[in-house]
Amino acid sequence: MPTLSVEDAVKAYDGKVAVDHVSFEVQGGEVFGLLGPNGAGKSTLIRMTMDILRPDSGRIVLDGLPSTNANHDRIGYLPEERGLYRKYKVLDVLDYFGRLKGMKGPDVKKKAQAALDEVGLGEWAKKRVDALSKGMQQKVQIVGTLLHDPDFVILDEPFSGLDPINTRMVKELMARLKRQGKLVVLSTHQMDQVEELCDRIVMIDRGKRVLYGTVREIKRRYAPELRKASGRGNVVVVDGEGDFTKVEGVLDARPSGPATALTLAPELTPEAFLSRAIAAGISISHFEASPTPLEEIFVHVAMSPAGAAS
Amino acid sequence: MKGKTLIVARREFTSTVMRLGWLIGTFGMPVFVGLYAGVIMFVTSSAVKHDKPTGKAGVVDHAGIVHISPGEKIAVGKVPERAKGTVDAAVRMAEGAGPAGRMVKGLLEGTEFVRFEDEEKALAALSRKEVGAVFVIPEDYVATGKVISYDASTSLFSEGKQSRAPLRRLLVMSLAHGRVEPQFVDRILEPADVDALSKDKDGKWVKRDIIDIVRRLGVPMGFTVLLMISILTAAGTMIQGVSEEKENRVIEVILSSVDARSLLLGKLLGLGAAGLLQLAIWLSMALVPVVLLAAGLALSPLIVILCLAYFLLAFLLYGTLITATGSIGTNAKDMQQYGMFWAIACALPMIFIEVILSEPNGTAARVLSYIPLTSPVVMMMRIGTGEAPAWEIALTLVILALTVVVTLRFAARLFRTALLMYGKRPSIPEIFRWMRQA
Repeated sequence: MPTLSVEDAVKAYDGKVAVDHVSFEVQGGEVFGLLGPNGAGKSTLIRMTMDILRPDSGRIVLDGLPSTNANHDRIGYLPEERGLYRKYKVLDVLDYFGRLKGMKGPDVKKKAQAALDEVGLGEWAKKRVDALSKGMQQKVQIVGTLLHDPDFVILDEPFSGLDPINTRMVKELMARLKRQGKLVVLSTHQMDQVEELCDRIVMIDRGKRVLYGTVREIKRRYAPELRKASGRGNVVVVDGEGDFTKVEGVLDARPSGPATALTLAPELTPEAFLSRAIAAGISISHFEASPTPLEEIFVHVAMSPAGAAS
Repeated sequence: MKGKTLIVARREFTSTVMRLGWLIGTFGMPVFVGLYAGVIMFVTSSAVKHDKPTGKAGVVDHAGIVHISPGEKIAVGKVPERAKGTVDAAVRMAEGAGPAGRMVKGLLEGTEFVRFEDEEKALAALSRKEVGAVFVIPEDYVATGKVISYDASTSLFSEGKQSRAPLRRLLVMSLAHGRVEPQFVDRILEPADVDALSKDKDGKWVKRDIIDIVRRLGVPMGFTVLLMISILTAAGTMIQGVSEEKENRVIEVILSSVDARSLLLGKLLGLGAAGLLQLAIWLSMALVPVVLLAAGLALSPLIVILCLAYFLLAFLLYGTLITATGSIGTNAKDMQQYGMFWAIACALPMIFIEVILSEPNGTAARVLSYIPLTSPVVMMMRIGTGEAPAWEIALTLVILALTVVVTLRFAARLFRTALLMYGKRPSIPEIFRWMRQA
């Protein structure tokens, strides 16, 4: 099973530290979230993983061996900045990408065609890339990333520009990679995707590792701190007849779809709120205790002056 | 990583030769040159009015001094023994080149003079186009030196004008005939055939001949011109391709698959191969004149091989430099400008051509030979003069090859970093830092 470990990696550009003693490990069979605000050092980490850049100190280890360009062929990389040769035929671009990743022989195009068929772009294979819509190009790029059946898959914002149908398709693709025991690193800003897809995450801020662990662990650990820091408590989503804001301990209310999201005072548990609401004679048709979203933790950690300890 | 260099090279090659611009350049250029030559030929042909040169001129001799050996052709001058090959080749080439060629041939072969009793008969022969011109030598010729010429055509290339120089020789020979001892006549016509001696690399006096130098320099000069053309066209294509990849962000994917050095080398080799193919096509389209010319020029295989070696190394060196510098630019236009700086450097030694040719082993020539940027062009010139010592050839080739290796290494780093930076123009210190960074 593929393993990736970043061991105390440091990388500075022109004296500015982009990656500052970062360590983490990723196993095959998991989807690992690489998070962080813009400019946090994610791209540098990704480029070091692929040996496009080398760390100033520390190591990047793939399957127990330091990363060299010999590993290029085992990595599939979908960059955030998408790039295809616009004036070439889809199949030719994929053939070139495949061969650069070490694919050989006459079957490269056949495999590319099969992969295009699978994502519903079969009949576009002989068309020029610039004849495709942005979403289609995005899918072609994903096909190119996975064509050579890499063990390590690094996806940088794979959902940007995709409609819900294609987003679901890519999610299914990721689930399949995970089942196949591939190592998937997902870098994204969309926290709901992270909560849905990632087993574990690392968050980088200003070059430093600020969060690391499973999503559940991180939430459990940071929710109380977040509540304390913000002076705000749990969030519940409710629907029913009556004025929820009149219930004691409700700090504010905002619409959430047809329902209302209420922020409670820090000491008020959802259960306690529910009994108070019933006691106040409000009829409740929907009640949901909303866990602290990862996004809030992300923002909290990113906004705190020196970053949180990990 | 060798394999990936080849994959990149193959792609660059095929995508270049499939480009419309390349096809137009490759097949259009000879057509253009052909058309151009055709226009010139047409203009000169109409100038000679499609008259077949008769190769003859009539002489009416009232002064009674002209002595004609029937059937003898008198040329403009005596062709030196060593240039005979070149002149013969030129005559053979001229034969195939239509009316203008026939004119050149006539000029090289000379004029046959035919005696007529009076103007009337001579002019009748001129009208019948039996002769191309008529010269009348008046009675008082010896006193005045006047000669009257009747020319069937007013064109610049008329036979009348062509046969004036042969007429002068004829008159010299006639005046000398019987008055001067025969062995002196040739000397009056050709008083000095100069063998110019100057010192060679070992300080010995050797004969230098302009014809020899021109013959030996033909190949190196040809390579120099080809080098410039190749560097300029390849640099253009290269920069276009790289800027496309940078603007497209494809480069990110490419660099995650192949290291920067293999990428850079692959691109250069691919484009170089496309350039050579273009050259081969041009040469094969113009094969006949080239072969004939080569027969006239000193085509030593050693010189060709040496020139080819300098050519390839120079192509790699300049290609690397142009691409790496070009990659700093944020868009194609910027890149072109940065890259073109080097193309100028490549052409620089041409300024010193006179110094190098007159003193192929002088200090200037030697210093320029050891500077990798000027080395290829200067060494090709020096080899052409036949005076570059073997050890200097070997040494400069080694220096050049090492420079290519080192440049490729640093250029790859710069290339990689520059390509990953979007929309940011680096400062000079930053560029140096990039080159140091692994």
